Amino acid sequence: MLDIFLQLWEGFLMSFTLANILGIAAGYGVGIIAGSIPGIMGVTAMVLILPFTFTMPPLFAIAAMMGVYKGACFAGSITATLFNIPGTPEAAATAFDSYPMSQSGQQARALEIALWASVIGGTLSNFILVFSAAPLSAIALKLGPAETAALILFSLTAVISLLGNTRTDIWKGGLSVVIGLMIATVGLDPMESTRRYVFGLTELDNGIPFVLAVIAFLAFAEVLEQVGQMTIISLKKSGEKAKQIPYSWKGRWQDLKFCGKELCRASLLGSLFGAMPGIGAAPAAFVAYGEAKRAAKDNSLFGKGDPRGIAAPEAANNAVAASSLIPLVTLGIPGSVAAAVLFGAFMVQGMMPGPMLMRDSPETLYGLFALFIMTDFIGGFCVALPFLALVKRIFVTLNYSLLFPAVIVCCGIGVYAEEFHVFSIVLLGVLGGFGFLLHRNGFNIPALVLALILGPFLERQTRTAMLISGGDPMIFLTKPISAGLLFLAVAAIAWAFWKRMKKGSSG
Amino acid sequence: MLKNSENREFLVIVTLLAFASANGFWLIPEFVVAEGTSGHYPILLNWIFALLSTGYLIDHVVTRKQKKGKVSRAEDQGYVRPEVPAPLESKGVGISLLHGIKVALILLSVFIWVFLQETIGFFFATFCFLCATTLIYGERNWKKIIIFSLVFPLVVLLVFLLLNATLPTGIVEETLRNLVK
Amino acid sequence: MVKRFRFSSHVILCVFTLCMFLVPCTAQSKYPEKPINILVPLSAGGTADLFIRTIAPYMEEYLGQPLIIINRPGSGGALAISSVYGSKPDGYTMSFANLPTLVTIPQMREVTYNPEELVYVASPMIYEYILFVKDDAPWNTLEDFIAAARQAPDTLTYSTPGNGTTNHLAIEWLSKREGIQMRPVPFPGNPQSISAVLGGHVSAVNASTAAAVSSYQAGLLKPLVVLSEKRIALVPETMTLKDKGYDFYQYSNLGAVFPPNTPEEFRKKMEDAIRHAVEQKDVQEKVAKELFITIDFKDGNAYRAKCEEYRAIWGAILKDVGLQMKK
Repeated sequence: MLDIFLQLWEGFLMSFTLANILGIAAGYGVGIIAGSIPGIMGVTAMVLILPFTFTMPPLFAIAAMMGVYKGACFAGSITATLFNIPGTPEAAATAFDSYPMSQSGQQARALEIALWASVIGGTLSNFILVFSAAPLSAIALKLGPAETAALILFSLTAVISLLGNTRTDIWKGGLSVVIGLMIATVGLDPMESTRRYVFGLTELDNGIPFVLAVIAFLAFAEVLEQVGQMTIISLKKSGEKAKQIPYSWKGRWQDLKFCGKELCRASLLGSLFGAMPGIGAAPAAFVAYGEAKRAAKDNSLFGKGDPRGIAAPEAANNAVAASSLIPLVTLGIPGSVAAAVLFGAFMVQGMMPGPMLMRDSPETLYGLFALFIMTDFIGGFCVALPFLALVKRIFVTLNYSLLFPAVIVCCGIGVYAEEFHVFSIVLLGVLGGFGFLLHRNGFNIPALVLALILGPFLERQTRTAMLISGGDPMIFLTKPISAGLLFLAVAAIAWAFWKRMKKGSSG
Repeated sequence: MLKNSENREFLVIVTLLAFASANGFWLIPEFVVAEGTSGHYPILLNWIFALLSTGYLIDHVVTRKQKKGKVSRAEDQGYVRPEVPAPLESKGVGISLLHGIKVALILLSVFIWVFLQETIGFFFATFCFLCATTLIYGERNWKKIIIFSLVFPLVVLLVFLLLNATLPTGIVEETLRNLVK
Repeated sequence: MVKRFRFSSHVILCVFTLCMFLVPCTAQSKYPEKPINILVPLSAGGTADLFIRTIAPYMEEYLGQPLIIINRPGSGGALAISSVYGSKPDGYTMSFANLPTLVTIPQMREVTYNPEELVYVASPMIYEYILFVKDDAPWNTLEDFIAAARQAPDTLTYSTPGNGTTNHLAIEWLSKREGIQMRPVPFPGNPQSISAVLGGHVSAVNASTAAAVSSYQAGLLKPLVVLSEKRIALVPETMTLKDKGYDFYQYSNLGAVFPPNTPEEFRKKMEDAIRHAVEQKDVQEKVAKELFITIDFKDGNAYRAKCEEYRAIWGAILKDVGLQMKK
């Protein structure tokens, strides 16, 4: 233990240079701007920035990339809070509470809670990465296809059980998940590469890219939603406009105390999710939200602006950002798309992440760890805080009738930049309109999006598990972890039904 | 009011069931190549979809008979601090006619935008698109609209140039470029 | 807000002038004039991916444009190839491809591309393969493993980076030859198929070297046999299939392809870029010492010829193990 501290200290001595700090700040700045533009995903920003890092010195390049990564992770919650347009799918969970809170005039509070939760979640997870990367990755390896499939199912049911107050919401939640999974089957089958639901359009062969679907359902559909509210907003313009309630230091302290337990729990949860290759931040954020709601004594304010409902998902998704590097650092296997891009950056700099790095040059590794820890603090304090102040100022003078068209253009450009194909924008329009219709009919869009992201992964894992067992579905029940997770999944649905039955009969 | 929303629910359920059968009897046999195991998963999904829709239908019919336990969403809009104004967004179901028309117009302009990008290039297409959508979103100040529609695509163009990425070019832009060259 | 718009006519003028300045910046010039999308048919961290990321900076140096590396794993590479097959032949979308994607997979099932129509750019390297089991597995030699498989047919599993990859077919050939039965489990790439062995979910993995280097050197994997033609410096003690008396070795290479009808001019430029990259000392050293694969540059024609040659060889094996598509 002491040994690790010493090495970490050495790492800090190595990494704590002005150049690295500037690199982090610059990267974080780019990340936060990219992340807060709806339609531009953090990963897209990383891919676009990557070529520029080739000529930089190694640690500086990694610092900048880490900055972009972390900055974009946090910034997804800014637009989620202010406009209910989540910049990233995981921020959809944050929006449940941060949007109502911000709508009630407490933008400062909502944004800052999200920021502190990000910094704390990221930092806790960084320490978990430093101290227990090896055991965590051993656990993650033990989780085979059957367990992963069960975990995904559990995350999906957790989302269904979260939302709404009536049984109808559960049915519709379930249907939304299935619709999401169905959309995910469009394109070439990942295992046999036969065509499914392509309708003769070769552009659809690669399936519907999840980035596109996320932007269409979360951002574009919301912009369509808002066009119906424009009359209300323009009426409001004359009188009290975008009222902002200041956030006192006392309030900050109280919120921190209030959310402390949730922050720790969510960070731990996020770290666990992140250590599993391929699962990603969105389910972690939703499950953390669900856990916070379930654990709270009084959960009547969830969905209406409970600070815990912001802190938990935000801490979890930033914890994932750090711990998804665990498979990369310990095994040399990138656990997420973002980690794969980082992996590319490492490679270009002549560093091969994996067990060999830990053995051959621990000083580089601990230098990296120090860099990760610095990223959260420097980014959070030096970049995000001033940025939030700026955002708050702009928010007051914002002209919505110009903002929303700009958002649509950003969405279009964002999806275009993924494949450099205008067909993506057509697809954006179609899916956005579809999402709007579903939302207007009470379907659960976050659940749909989560299912859509996890769909290909779920299918692959399920089918791989069946191949391993030789076509025997009992594999899901004979493995203790997967059986436990499936039980939890059923329990979550049953709990949700029961809860609403009770409510229904008493109200 | 209640009656109306229940009819809408019923319509939704019928649509769902119709989709499930269309998917099962037409889409899957026609558009999913059932080679190896690749057809199993969509079929499984369709069964789950059909089951959930049926469950929803039964639940809906039963509740309708009992006619109780429905919490109307409008009542459920309490916010943390009563002294601050309630959020602008109302979560209800259904689309007003005006809203529907606006959404249709926006979608239409998106498709025209895509078409124009391929013919007259990103900059001019986006200019037209922004002019149209800002109008739909209720902006009436012409100066603002024109300046915004010019400046915004230019900023996007600049960023893309900086990043070495390309935007769609069309015939008009190409000719312009060649003229300048 | 209002103040800013007072000089609106000036602003418009400025904007237009600026616009005119911007236009010539993006005007047409010689290929390549913008970043090139490079599809990698296997997952990040795999052998092909590591190799491509190693040579990419040198190709960029030669081409003077950045390469955007996109991992599009799945279906043994068919996803990436069918995507490049449908792209515009403007030289800005290229895919790397493993031999099986062009050779075996089209013989096994309906695919959405015709490998013969693609434009073959060049092939920079060939793969080396090792059959690994987990370090604490009860088998120490290939013979042990085969005996175990014979005792309990259809219970041992092995992971491959996709159905129809040579990793899959080589083991199938071996099983057929030895009269044993094992179940192949496809993964999107080598890293995942290796982690499936590390986690104990499958019994063995036929992996290409580079993806397995770090796990092997950390002592997590045990080599049983080398499947490619010659012994490998990574595991100098381990015998090849040929050493063991089988008349077989597993051959596969990595190459780059353009969409059909891509002009020769673009192909040549790209071929030269790849040649330039693999001729670098740094690259050769790194590939030999860290990735343990063999650089073997073939130009477009030689690459196409090699693919034709192995279409027949692997086709015979496919027929032999009963995986060839019935027409």
